[in-house]
Amino acid sequence: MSHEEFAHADGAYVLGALSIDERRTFEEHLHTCEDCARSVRELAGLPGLLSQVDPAVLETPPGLSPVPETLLPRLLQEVRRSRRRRVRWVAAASAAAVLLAGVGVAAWTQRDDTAGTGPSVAAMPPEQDMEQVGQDVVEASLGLESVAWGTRLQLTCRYTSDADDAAYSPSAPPSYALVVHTRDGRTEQVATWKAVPGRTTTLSAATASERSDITSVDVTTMSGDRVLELTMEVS
Amino acid sequence: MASSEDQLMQALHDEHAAALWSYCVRLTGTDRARAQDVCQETLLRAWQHPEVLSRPPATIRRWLFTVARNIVIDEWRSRRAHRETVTADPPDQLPEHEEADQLLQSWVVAEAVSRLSTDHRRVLYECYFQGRSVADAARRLELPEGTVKSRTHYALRALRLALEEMGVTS
Repeated sequence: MSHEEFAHADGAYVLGALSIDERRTFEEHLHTCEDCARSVRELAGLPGLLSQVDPAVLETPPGLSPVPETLLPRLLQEVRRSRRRRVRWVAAASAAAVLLAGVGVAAWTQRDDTAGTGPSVAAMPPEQDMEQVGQDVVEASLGLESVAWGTRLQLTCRYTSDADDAAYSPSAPPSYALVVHTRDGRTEQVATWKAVPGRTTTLSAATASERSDITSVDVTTMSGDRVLELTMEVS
Repeated sequence: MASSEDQLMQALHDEHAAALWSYCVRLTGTDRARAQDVCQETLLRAWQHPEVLSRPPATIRRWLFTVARNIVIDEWRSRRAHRETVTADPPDQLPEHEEADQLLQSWVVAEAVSRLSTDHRRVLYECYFQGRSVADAARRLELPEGTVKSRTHYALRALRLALEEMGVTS
């Protein structure tokens, strides 16, 4: 029999609805047809999930429940409330930033490359890979999160310190800085750190600038040469 | 004043509230007041993460479902922790969080099933829940056997997609 005759038998097969003869023929076909075998594997878990469901769900479709009319007004109310709160916080955060300027506020955590998924750190937005703009041993990905006081940045760095790499044999590990550029042309150094070769390190930094005002973020050497950059999508 | 932030929230609501609402109703065991709280909190978090919204619609939807589910799970956990400190109940035989996760998963599957078309639900009902063969189901549904087969195929494909969107992988 040809593949076409079996192409739709996978569903009935995993549900156990084929006759004995049909099942036997289909199973023989599975030995020779990778497409059907893969398809069966993809569907094989579904009967187990279906078994958790009350069959009544299939008999009587739920009456469509309209979205409550109060939802949108409440959401917009929250939006306004959070905007007011943010205006106050940004003012406070800017004042704090003045006090801290030049200190390089950065909090460190470290983890081994080999470590699996440990206890999760504070939830952060997914990180995007930064683009290489110079020849260097650092690779990094960056996540930015809008918070009440501005923007939280989380940087995950990897250092490709290959022992055979003759180009990389510094006497001391290099240091880097994280630099934020904003729409109005300001440049702010938000963190500095030392490379830890062979390690993946995560550091977080903060700025009072709004997420939407940030145009790009660079990783530079301490002498100011850009090695990585991430340009924000214009919204 | 309708700011761009209001507009963003309005757009989020228009695009996703209906699907998210129905999911939240299911997830809260049709407790509509709680469903609305969860729905509201989820959309608010999405609004606070504009970077999420630049992703493809299916990814956004999945993100929303995940956030909603986590909110429900967190509520359960904190209520349980509270009750444990208050009454010092002896632990149940089955760890409660596993039970809760399973209950939640069964609701998510029910939600995915209820999104299937009537035709798809009917073949699954006959061929799986009633345990009928393709031939029997075909007689009952007054359809050719080939149609029953292809409907079970497409019904399960559609179910798998819906479940993936809700963060359940089979």
